[in-house]
Amino acid sequence: MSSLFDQAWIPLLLTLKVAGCATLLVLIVSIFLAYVVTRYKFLGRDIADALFTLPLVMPPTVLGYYLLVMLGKHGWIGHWLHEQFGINLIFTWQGAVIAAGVASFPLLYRAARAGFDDVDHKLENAARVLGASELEVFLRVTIPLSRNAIFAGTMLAFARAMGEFGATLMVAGSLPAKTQTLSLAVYDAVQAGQNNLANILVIIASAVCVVVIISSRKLFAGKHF
Amino acid sequence: MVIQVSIRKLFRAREYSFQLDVDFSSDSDTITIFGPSGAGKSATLQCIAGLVTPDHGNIGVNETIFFHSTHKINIPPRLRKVGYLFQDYALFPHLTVAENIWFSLKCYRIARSDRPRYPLDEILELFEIAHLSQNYPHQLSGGQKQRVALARALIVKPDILLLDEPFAALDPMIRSKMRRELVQVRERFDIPLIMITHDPEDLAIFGGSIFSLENGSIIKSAEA
Repeated sequence: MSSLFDQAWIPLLLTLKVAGCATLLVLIVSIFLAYVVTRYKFLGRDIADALFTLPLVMPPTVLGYYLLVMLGKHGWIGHWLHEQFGINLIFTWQGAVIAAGVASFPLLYRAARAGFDDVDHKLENAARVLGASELEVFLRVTIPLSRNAIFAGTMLAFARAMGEFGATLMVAGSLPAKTQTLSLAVYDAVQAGQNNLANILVIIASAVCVVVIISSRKLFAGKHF
Repeated sequence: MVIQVSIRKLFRAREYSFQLDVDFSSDSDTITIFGPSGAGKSATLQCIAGLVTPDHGNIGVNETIFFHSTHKINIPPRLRKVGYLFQDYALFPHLTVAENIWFSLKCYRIARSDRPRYPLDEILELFEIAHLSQNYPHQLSGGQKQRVALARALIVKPDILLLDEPFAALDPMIRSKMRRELVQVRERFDIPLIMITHDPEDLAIFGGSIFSLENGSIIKSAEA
């Protein structure tokens, strides 16, 4: 019989893996999309912006349901993945990554958008006249000057990904050691009356949150422009 | 320098609209565009630099056509070889003085081109800012910022220098000193320049052509 420690350690590692992957994915996608939305005026831009914000206000189980429909064997994406690559996302940790990612995406996207909009346009123009291409302006001026906003958004996204429950449950289920993240493990422990386990899980989850907050403050102490 | 500008642009924001309708040409090496705030001076300068695209017209500097709406020519700012001094200098706050100045040299196209350039130490010496090279812009005085901005613009030897109200952000006490410095820069670098200003005291600094801009159009021109 596995010790209490093992029963807590495994969900912790799984959660860090899922939230870490989700945040990394979201970081790349949201910076790219925020760039496109702030730089280009295209038809439907406002609709796209609203769509990107939608997961923020949608109930997690509703979000989970939409993901289940799209990623399941008969959904557009799920079917294509299964036919082309033999990949199935439902009840897998990768599916949990997608659920956590979609749920936390709006937080990083909005932070990045606000960060990019806040950068003084004169500085970007100065870079253009000095010889920078649009990509160079973005990488050498816009991103460094929106570092703080992006970092704050990343911390929020990570916290949200760590805490994801509803959508994860729908898409990946709560399979111990496979997709049972910390939040799900707490729920299951309480449901099963395993209060000792629940206590340990909660303490661990809280400790991780405190560590994330303290280290983020230390990393960015005083570097403001 | 030979310059010819003939542009029209409608700026619109909510209920407010402004029509820029500027025509001028000159073969002088110093041009001053003078006018009150809101007359369209910055807009004109930004069109010459390529930061703003006119609706119609053409802009030609020496033998190059920067912009021609009918022939569909619109050279992007990074290829126009112009230097631009912004009103509040637009120094990159996250970079040191040295990094600000060599910003151009690190741009992909310029790094790989055969564009003539000043060595960094030489330009730092010329502007007497070598001792500030590791400082950040927020640590500099107004006059020092202007020198850094000029060094940054001139390091890759642009064909013309555009100056957007260069002394407006400065303390009135040091304006005359900086005016003299700018004249020295003009002579030492032998670079044609176009300056816009609303301050009549700036008109006497250089000779050359003076154009008066009001409400989006040139209303008067003179040779100083």
